[in-house]
Amino acid sequence: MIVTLLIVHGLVGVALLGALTHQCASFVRAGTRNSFAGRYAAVAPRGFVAAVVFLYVAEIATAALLYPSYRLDVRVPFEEMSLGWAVGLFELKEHAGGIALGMLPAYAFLWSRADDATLQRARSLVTILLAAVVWFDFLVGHVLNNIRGLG
Amino acid sequence: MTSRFSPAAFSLAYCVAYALVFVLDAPIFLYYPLEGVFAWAWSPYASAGPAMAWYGLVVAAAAIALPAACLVPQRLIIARRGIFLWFTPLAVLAICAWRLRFFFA
Repeated sequence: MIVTLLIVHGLVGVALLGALTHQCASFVRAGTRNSFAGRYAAVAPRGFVAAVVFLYVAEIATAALLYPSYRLDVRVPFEEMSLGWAVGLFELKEHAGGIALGMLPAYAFLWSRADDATLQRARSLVTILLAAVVWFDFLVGHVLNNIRGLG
Repeated sequence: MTSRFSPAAFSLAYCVAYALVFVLDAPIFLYYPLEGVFAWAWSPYASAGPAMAWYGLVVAAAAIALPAACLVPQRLIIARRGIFLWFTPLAVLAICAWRLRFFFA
């Protein structure tokens, strides 16, 4: 059950990364329109907002369900192996995830005012910050899972 | 009747409250995964296993942010081109990283 939930958590994370990375790429508009980068960035960023909010909430919900197993079955062995840095990385991941959860209302609000040019910088930076947190959390989760494994 | 709830104020208040609750180590409740028991943070449960504070941190920050989101006008939060909306979470992330630096010493 926990392994299934962990895989679902990872898959939701991948979908969330894709949505947020597409949104961020749309700010840059790199490359020509016919290049891969150009086509990747040529999206309507507003269309990702509902998906990002839904996926982020789903990601946090699965994380909250997995957390007790981590605390008992993963963190304790890490401490016994003197892997303080790994425990610290997870602590950073959990707090970054918790803070970004609170950013979601502002994120949705800023995109609901996508036509307001005065909020363009805040809209871009909040989206980039959210993407950075999701990327960081994904990579940390991947590294910790590689250390501990599924067994 | 229109709602006075401000999503931007909620996010700002949540981030500030999260930082305060984290720095003061004051989650509203703790969870004891070995026994599957919740207990108020001010009357801890005598557990043989570890206590988890994260759920209590998130709930405490949201509980503080909800009334703030109804009281603080949205126009104050989005003043100065919405700088508070990205600077505050960035600062709170930095505070959390600073507080956790001992793990990497």
